[in-house]
Amino acid sequence: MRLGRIITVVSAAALLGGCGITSAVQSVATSVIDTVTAPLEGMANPSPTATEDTDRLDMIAFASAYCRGEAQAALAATREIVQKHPNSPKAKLIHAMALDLGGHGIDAYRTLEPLATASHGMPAVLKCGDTFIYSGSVTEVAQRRLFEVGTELKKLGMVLPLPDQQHAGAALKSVFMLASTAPTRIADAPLPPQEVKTAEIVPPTQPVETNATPSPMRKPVAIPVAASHFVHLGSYRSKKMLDKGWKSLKKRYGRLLASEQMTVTKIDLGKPKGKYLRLGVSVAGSATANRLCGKLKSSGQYCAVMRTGKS
Amino acid sequence: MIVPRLLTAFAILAALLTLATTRPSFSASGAAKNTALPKPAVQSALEIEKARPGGNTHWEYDGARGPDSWGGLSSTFKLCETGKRQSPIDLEKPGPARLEPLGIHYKLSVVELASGPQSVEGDYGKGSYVEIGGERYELTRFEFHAPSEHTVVGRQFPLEIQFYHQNAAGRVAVISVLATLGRDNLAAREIFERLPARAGGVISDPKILMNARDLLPDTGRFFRYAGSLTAPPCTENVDWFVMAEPVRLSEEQVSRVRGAVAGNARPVQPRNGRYLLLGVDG
Repeated sequence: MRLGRIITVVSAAALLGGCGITSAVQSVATSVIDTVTAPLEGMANPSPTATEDTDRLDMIAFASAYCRGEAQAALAATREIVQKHPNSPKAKLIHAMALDLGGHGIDAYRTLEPLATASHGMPAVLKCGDTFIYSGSVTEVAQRRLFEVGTELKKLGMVLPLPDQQHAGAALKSVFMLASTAPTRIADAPLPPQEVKTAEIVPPTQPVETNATPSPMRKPVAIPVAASHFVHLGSYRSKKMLDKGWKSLKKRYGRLLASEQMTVTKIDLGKPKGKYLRLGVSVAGSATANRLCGKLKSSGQYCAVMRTGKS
Repeated sequence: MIVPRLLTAFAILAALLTLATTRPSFSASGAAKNTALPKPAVQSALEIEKARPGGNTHWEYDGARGPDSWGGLSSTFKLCETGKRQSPIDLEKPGPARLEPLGIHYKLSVVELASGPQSVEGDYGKGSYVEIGGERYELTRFEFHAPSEHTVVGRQFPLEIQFYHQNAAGRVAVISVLATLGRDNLAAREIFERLPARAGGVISDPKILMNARDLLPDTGRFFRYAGSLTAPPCTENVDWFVMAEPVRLSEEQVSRVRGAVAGNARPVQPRNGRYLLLGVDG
């Protein structure tokens, strides 16, 4: 019975967090917060202890994120709540809301369907600013949301019933199989001669520095002669330092560099700077190179795009 | 002190009376608004024409007139910057669903190839269409993008072929095919042999006889989502069907297209909570 109240509290607290609120609403919110003492329905530990406080924080996190349109944060909060209270209809309801916000319509539909067909009379309220996102019993809210989500899905050609888990799992697996058919590097078209800037390529089998310690990592890969752009990430004096640098970059920007292989070129800047090893990745197309570089730069990493081409 | 409390009570009472469930849309400031997702206006055939590079307002795929600046180049390009349902997107974490099949009715037709500063496309003869939800969408043209505009779990393909269709009301549906490297594609050979070696080059013998069906993969599974044109004016309300199986082209064929278009892929756009579905077998 009291989760709805908690949600109301959460919505008000979310307002306090920045959705815009009058002092009057603040006072109402505070008074409601003061009255909340009960845990969520279906929770394993019914005693109002530290768990309850954590729940309240999770709920505040959900409502605050939801009202701001931050789907990832809303999902993270509701996952916590559902994990702790797997049998709570209200927990499932807000999780469905977060899934829907994040664009996971099918998952939202799957979560809402059983809620809409069962009888859950406890109230559920979520408010963003002056707007009630929903208000009613859990079943009523679930029914309305199910209808809305279903309508959107049908506009995209969805046909009921939803596929069983086995077929759904196979479909999701196929996405990764499809992704794996995309080559890491793509051969580029011949470039006009005046635009070609040839970098000195380190052949894949040739060690960069003869007295360097053998690296446990993959050997440097040469820029294919047809590759179009080199995304420069750093310069090093030795192979050992370069390997260390690459390892650090992979660790820090794992997601961005996951499918990339390091590319090494030698560069002689003359006196007094001397010779360096340039570390980077080779990619096809300026758009791809600029996009990758932009993301790295926004994370604080040095990055520069250099054009290569057929020599 | 009393007045604010009364106002609050009134506001709560009014809101309770609505008892509505809504999915909030979000303004740039992040504040939630109680409005339904915007329903874009149906676009006209004229707007589709504007989607080609060149035109009255000069735009490019790189530099100062590149994708990040499109929205500011013309008042008719605003959606490129402000649109919330833009294409292309990264095809990641789709919802597996049973989807209405695409009724593809392509036939052998005369196609007129054309190339622009950063485009290669084919205007398709009349009579080929796709049936979507019982409605007929005529195939009007196809165009090449190299590298691909859509990505799959962050991976970009060497090439993407987009087939543009339009129904009687002007609504646009695009069937898109990702291409990866493999053997020489016989169906594509006739097209690719005629492409100019450099961007903006002239196609010497532009008319060919082909069936666009030959450029589609064998299986009919696809991703589906609501998006936009991938080039200015970035008009929304476009239905996207990206085939879930790639076609294979030789490296030479891909290079040929890349030479002719010189990198004409718009970067992926945020999904902004849009549903992305993937058809399942069975």
